[in-house]
Amino acid sequence: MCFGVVAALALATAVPAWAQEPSSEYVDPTIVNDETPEGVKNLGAEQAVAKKKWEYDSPPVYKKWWFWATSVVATAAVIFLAVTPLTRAARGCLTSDPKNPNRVIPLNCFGDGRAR
Amino acid sequence: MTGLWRSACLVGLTAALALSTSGCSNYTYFNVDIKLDDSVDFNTTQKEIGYCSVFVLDAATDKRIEEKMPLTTTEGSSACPPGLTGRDLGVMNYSTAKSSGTLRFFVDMTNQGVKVSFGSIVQGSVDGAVKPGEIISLVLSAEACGTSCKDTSAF
Repeated sequence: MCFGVVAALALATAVPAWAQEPSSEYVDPTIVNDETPEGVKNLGAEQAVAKKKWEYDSPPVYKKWWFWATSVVATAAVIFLAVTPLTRAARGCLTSDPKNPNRVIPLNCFGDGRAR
Repeated sequence: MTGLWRSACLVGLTAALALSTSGCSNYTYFNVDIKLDDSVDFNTTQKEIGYCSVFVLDAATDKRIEEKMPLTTTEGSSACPPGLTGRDLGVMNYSTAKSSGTLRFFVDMTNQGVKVSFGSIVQGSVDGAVKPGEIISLVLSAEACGTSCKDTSAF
């Protein structure tokens, strides 16, 4: 038991000692600091400013009138295309042949656009 | 550039609307004149006919696109009263909203089960291409099929 206690204490103290060893710390190379070379400090600054200026000068697309006009027309077109073929009735059915009323015996009259 | 894109959008939508009004909403009508072929003997086969039905199939796949319909007159009576089926049955009309393809009209006539076991004895079909906005006239001549009758349950 005495040996066990000693061993446990030894292990408990050994781990922090190992963790405190010096290690190579990661440094983000994109962060500008005192060690950054002078020539690359403001690289891309002009382009970034121009991009920001364009973004601020151009209102978002949803604030433009034609966006909403196009949306309304597109929605109406989709509804029209989807509903119209289903609601439009087909033409009437034969009751007799106008050229020869005695010969034609009208049979089934069915299909799309007709009552089932 | 924005103006160009906007104009292109509006032109595209107008074209789509124009196409939809001219094509999609037009039906194709089929007038199918149904007759019995000379191969159907008046004294035997024709008198045996007790029931007629019509199938509308997709000609490319031979699969049914409408439920099986009993062949009836517009008054609702059977076009094939047992023993009294005529040689010139009449004209049926079918409308389709399809914009393309070919339809097959298939007529199946079964016997009354008096002399032989119940089943198909006369069959016939005719194909018609879908042409929106047009009325297509077809003649369907049904023939005595004997032992080579098609199994309509496969449609």
